[in-house]
Amino acid sequence: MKILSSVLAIGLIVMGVFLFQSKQSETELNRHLRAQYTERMSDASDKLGELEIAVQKASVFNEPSAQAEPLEDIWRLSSEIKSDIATLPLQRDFSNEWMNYLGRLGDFAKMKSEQKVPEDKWLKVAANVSRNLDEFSNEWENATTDLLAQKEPYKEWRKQVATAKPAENWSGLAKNVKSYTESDFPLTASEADVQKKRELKHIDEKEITKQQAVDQFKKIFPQFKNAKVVTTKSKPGATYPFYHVQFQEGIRIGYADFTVKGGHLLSTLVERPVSKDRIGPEVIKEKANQAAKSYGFDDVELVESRENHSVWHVTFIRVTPENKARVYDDSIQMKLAKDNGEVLGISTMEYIQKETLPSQKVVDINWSEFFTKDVRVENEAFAYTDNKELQQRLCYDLLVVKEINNIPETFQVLVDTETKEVLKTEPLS
Amino acid sequence: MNQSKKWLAWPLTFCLLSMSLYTPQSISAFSGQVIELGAYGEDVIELQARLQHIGFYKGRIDGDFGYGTYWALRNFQEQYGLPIDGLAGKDTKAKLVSVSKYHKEFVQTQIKQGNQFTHYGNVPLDQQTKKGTGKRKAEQVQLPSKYSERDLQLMANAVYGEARGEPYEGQVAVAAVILNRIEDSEFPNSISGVIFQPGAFTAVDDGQIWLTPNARAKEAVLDALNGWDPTENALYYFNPVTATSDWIWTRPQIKTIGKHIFCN
Repeated sequence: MKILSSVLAIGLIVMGVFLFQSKQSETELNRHLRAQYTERMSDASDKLGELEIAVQKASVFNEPSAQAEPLEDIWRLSSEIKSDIATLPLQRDFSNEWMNYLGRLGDFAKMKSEQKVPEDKWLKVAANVSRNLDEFSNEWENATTDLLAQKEPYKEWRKQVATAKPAENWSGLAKNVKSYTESDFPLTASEADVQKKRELKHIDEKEITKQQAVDQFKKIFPQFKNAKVVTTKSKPGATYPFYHVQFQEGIRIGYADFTVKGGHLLSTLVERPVSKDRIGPEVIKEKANQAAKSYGFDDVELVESRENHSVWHVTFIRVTPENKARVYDDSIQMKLAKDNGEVLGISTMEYIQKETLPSQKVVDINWSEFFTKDVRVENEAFAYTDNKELQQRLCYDLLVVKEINNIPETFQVLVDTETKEVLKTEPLS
Repeated sequence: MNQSKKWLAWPLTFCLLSMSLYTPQSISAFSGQVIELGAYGEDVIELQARLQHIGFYKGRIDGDFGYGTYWALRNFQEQYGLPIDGLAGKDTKAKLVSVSKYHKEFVQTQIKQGNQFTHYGNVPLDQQTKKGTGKRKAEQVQLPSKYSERDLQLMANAVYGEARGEPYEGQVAVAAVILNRIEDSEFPNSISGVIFQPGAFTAVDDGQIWLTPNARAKEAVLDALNGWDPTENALYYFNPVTATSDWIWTRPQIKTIGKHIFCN
């Protein structure tokens, strides 16, 4: 009996010590969290004040060189506050709206520093932003001071993140920032165009039925004519309506999405085991080209292929008939099995958005003057890509090589044919 | 057989024996496939090593056929009067084998040991290697240029932690949501920023993000990085059975894949 009591007593002591230590660790962790969140929140508050001053400064100078520093500060601070906000467990609607606002403010300041915003427009926006930031920083101060005064603010924040009905301070802040965003940075015409394209607003064809979607699927992919198929229509929250066809045949299982308007293929993926057999890249390319033609993509060119563990990923780009220019934003991705070249996936979402292309001047550019003397242009063609204002521009599409430390480094450079502006410089490995 | 004939027979036998054992260096060292930009693997390692051996290639021997290898191959073709197409076909490979050496064991050992090394002719092999990390590159993948292997790894961890029990399409979908958030102005603009945004992913909160992802999760991420988005532009998803947030039900829903509802 005595032994039993002793064992029990020791057991209880051990358990007590264990529980005590666990509690200690939890308390310590909570303390660290609180310190970290407090630091981030204070940091964001300080930077908010600095941002307000930078906006005011940037509207004082007319001289571009004097304006450069505050504009740079706005761009940097908005990005830093954005990253502070991203690490705080704040009510989601609020943090999303606030990050959007800061992102737009930073972009606008950057564009101003590049002389892409007229002075009068900048002054108007800066005055609005300054007023709104002043109002907002007061509200932010109140909300965060309240939170930090609580004993365990992070628990409160967590609760706020999960709730559908946030506390008044956060919902009020979210609403305010939303209205600031709409008034200070309304969507530009090209942003609105891009938005419409993403929502496939330009597709104005007749709606197809669920059965027609299945028929379309079996017509494009005759190998699945006997597949078991389950088709559902998108839910009401989708930005464009589509049919989701899920299928299974033997070892193959996958899905294909089709737009309700016009029955265009959006994307498909097939999963099956890929054996160790291998076919060469030239055969893969040939099969990819054949497949593209059979799906009716006859205005595209295969521009890139990448070998991976069991598949090849290839990219097609639409080419304009007039000047053979590649339209980089109208691309198709295809995935082919390495063992036999079977198509295991297609994504045509960008291709069916079909960019509207401007007619544009083409001025000659002397590349030997444009680049440094040790750069050589290996290939020159035409291509369309978007500029910072999201407008499609005709460009010289150059493949250039520069020897750096005796190793040839390759870059793709896109230069606007009219303004000579460099729209893209990408190192190619 | 007299004594002089015996002495003649020995060298003759030796020569015949040597000839039977000698395997000429031939293009059989390479596989029969054409090697070109975008490829990777043993053939590319041999191609890079041989081009480096004769001074055409100065980059890293890593088995990835990138632009460095492409320009080196074109220069080689030009110098040896071959069609300049940047493709290592039968004739190019045969010429390359005839004018270069490939110390396969040396090259493979250095790669396996994660050493830094070169493979130039006329330099003793032991002077061409430096101790490296001791780890071989985890695996060879060819990603679109804007993404890194770290991005792939981090996303694979997130996908595995969040959706390992989901169908393949559902795993690609989770990866696509991460990428859609980066494109959206209301979210952080980096992969790590999106994944580690507080409260954004359950796998980060409960530590499941640190489980080792399997090949399927990695392949799903690879498809998403290559442009697939089965969610049709979703920014959120949740499991209706386990969701604890009331807020998530307020989001406009797009489609259901496996156990997840994807929304805007």
